[in-house]
Amino acid sequence: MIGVQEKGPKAVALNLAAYTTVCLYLLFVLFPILWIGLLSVKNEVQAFANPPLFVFQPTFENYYDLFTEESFGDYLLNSIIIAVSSSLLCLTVGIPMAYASARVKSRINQRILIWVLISRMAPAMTYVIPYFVVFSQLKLIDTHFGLILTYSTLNLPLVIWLMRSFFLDTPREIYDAATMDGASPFQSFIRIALPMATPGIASTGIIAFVVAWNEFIFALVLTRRHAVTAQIGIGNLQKYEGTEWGQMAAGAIILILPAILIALFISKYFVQGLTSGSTKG
Amino acid sequence: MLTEKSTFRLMSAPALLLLAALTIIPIIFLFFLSFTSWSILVPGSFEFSLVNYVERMFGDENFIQSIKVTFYYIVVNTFFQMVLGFLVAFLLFRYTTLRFLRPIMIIPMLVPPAVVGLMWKMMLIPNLGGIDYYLGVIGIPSIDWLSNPGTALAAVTVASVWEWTPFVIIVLLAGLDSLPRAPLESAVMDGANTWKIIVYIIIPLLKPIILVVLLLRIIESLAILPVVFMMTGGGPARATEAINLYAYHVGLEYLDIGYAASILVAFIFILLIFCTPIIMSSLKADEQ
Repeated sequence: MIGVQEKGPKAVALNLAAYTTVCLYLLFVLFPILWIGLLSVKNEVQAFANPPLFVFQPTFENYYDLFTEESFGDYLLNSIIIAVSSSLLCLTVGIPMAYASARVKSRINQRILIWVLISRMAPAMTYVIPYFVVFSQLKLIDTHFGLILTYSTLNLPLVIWLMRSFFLDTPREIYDAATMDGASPFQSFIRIALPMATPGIASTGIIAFVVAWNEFIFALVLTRRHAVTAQIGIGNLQKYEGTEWGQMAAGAIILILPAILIALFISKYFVQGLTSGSTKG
Repeated sequence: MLTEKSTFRLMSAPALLLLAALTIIPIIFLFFLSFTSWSILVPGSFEFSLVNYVERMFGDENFIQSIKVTFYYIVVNTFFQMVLGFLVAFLLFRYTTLRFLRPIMIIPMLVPPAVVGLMWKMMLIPNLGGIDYYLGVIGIPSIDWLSNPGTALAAVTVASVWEWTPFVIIVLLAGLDSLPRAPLESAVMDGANTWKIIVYIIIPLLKPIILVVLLLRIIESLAILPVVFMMTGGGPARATEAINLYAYHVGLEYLDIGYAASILVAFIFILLIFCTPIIMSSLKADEQ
């Protein structure tokens, strides 16, 4: 079917329908982002113009106000600190286990891996009430450390499963050869497995960063003021005395930025990470 | 020197301990809390009882309503994501000239859910959002989409389809790309039409991956919470409040911890009811 050209008017009509469907879907995907992008550089009069404006004098006032009138800069800084720390923590703790579980073939190992997977699948809300109760006692509410710790619930299983699939790609013979040459199991992990898995570590790190960057429920429940992340902060722009929609659009565009950058520049790594997790056993 | 086995154990220990502390212990604690009548606002209310499960749940109209919304999200949102996702994945696979569009499909699933909610909320605001204007152009009158129960639910479904159809597309595309070429090519040689190729060749071959995607979409169907939280806050009149958002309101706004815990335990059981048949048929498909 690939590379075979169907002919005749019926085939032409079918092709036309297919391309139209894809174009409509593309419009559905991109239109909201484009619209919010335009909204973020409009002033209030332009934003509410009827019919909508596509050609106008853009202004970056919304972005400026977002950082001067609102404390969006603090929220962003919190998000960056927490997302980076959480990814690093989970890579550090998770990669050794991923390697070990890729090398060991035993029943217990399989069971543990399935448990790791299931623990990731449980709805975030089921964890957050116990966290809330315990963190209140430990004074961990509204701390960076508290959020970084809880994000391991989401990112550690991810790192273990993704990195395991990368380690499984390395031929076993390489490790056997290293052992023959007198390398200890830990040495062959540091000297051989890690360097070979560098692309895998990069894509896993990116995915873990995005998961932490996008997280909402834990941040909603476990922060108050000091550790509020940008996902929660942007919601605080909705106010009873009236919402500055332009500022909110500007904030939305800033928060979408990592997604756009990843899609444009490193989508291959991302898809690789994503699909290796769900199509390999 | 350490043996291989003990090295691997040592390497796994930190991750396992951390994960156990963060997942197993909280779930046990949650079950324990669900059998208490503990409310932070009522001093001395920490008592063991079955009152949550026996009396409160079944008399609670808001709970019943949240179950209905939960079923709606699981069935309707997942259905549209799967159907549209399969359609677009097939078209991107069939028309290789469209290959360059694949990276774009990644964008929506990377957009933060809170932003997805705010974005669709803004899109639906008259004049500001444009949707109203363009619907007016094709003759559909302007209404306040988010303050009417039926249309608010539909709006949440649209946002969920926007956010998660790309996931279905990407994983199914990876599956389609890895299909064996021989059956497809011989079917084309024999003059089978596209429809027959989809039904008799692609779907059976792709079944294991379709089941995995379906399972993931059902499990994560209530991860729509941030979107709902930002779009409607669960309203109007609790029309969009699924069981996890209801548990949030009960447990973390009214601080009725015991009851919220039992609602979440009910939630886990609902997920199991939906997922067990799919896991079973997935295991069967693996054996074949």
